[in-house]
Amino acid sequence: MVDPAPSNKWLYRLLFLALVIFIIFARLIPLQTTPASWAMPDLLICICFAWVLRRPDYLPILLIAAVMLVTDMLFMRPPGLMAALVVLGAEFLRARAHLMRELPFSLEWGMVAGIITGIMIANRVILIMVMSPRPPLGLSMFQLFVTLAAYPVVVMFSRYALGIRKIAPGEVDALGHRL
Amino acid sequence: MARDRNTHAHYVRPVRRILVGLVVFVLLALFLLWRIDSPRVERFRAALVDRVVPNFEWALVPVTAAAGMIQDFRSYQRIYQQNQELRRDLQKLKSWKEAAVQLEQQNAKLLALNSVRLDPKLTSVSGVVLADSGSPFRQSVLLNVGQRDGIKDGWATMDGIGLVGRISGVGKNTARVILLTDSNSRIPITIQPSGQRALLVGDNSSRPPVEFLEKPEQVRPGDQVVTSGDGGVFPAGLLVGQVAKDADRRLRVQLAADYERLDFLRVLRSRSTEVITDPGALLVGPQSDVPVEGDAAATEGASDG
Repeated sequence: MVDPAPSNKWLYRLLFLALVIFIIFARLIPLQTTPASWAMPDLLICICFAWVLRRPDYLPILLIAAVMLVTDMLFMRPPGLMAALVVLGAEFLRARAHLMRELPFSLEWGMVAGIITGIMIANRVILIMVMSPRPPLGLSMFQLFVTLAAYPVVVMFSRYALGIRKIAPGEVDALGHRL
Repeated sequence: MARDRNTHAHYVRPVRRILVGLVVFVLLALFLLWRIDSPRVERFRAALVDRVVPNFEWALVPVTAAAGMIQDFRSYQRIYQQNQELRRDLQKLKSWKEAAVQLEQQNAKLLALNSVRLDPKLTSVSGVVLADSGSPFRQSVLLNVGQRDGIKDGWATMDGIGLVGRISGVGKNTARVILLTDSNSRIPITIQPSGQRALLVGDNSSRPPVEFLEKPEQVRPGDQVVTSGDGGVFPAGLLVGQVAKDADRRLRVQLAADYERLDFLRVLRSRSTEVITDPGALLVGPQSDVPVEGDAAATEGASDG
């Protein structure tokens, strides 16, 4: 399948930004001002990884870095740390995106689960190393599990609602380059 | 096609690797900078939030209000039980009202006797809650008042009833309030009636524990907790809540402020505490030479006379 227009890529980048703004908005609404014993999944990481595995050309590294840095700032996380880890994870997946095209979804899920777990552990270890205050362990574990559980949902949403499929072998872009 | 792949392998990939390394390096450098020079980066963060979040205000406030209305509407379902509860509460409150009137009169008399001057400079600025921290690990809210309204770091924030938190991070149009439940919150408190000083230490739970209490056996559940004003950052005597004991017999504070519904908050203008720089002058008794001469003259005169 040939992309109908070269601007398709930019359309999906804008769509990604719209999703990001929606997620930020949903999380900033002050509905829950008491401390909760549960946490929402980190949908942003799921979207980044699902899209990078399917269409690496839609999410350039600078876009991921900028979005993660802004959310680090807005959600009162240590600035830069989570962004750096997510960029590393996304680049690791991007380098393997062409291998993952033929693999079944369960393997993809396992790999993404491994990377997200690695990101959470690395985040915690680095925060311990620089002696920075850390979020409670139980809540972090909970968030990790719901994030992993949310990944297939995000993939289904991207696949069926937004039309982001894996690149078929031999697929070319509008200019005839291999993807 | 083969040439295409070759150029990809030889040219694009190393460049890409450098780009990734550079991006990760910059991000980690920012993280280290934050760790080393936190205030500077936090000021930048406050400025960024100040630019971004007020753009959402047109949507955040109505959506929050609508959600609140839905919650209120749901509460109609149990209107009968609520009515019963309210009647019971009203009965209790009537007896309390009597007690309060008596105490008020007594208090007025005592104040008049002492001619105590209560702090007249404690005025407040009210703000609307725009957003929360967006993370389950941090407990803070963003108000729509900032530097423009003269808000300063460290000022106390209350809802109608009790203390909610303190200002930490002020932008031009917004200010962040660290709630008492946040794990970075430390507030000096006094527990009445035993008058003991302690610290209220947030731990990301809805009832923060009391730490550094000297004699826990003198404190009972139900005792009133107010700010002590130790350290000079906070005004003294603001209501915080009531002491409660949890399952493992640790003392915690049931907060008086309604954390379920934080919409309008009052920021108390604290005046800066006066600093005493004078170490205290040397106290000298009445100068001895001049009076002694006078005395001597007087005695001389007396002896002459």
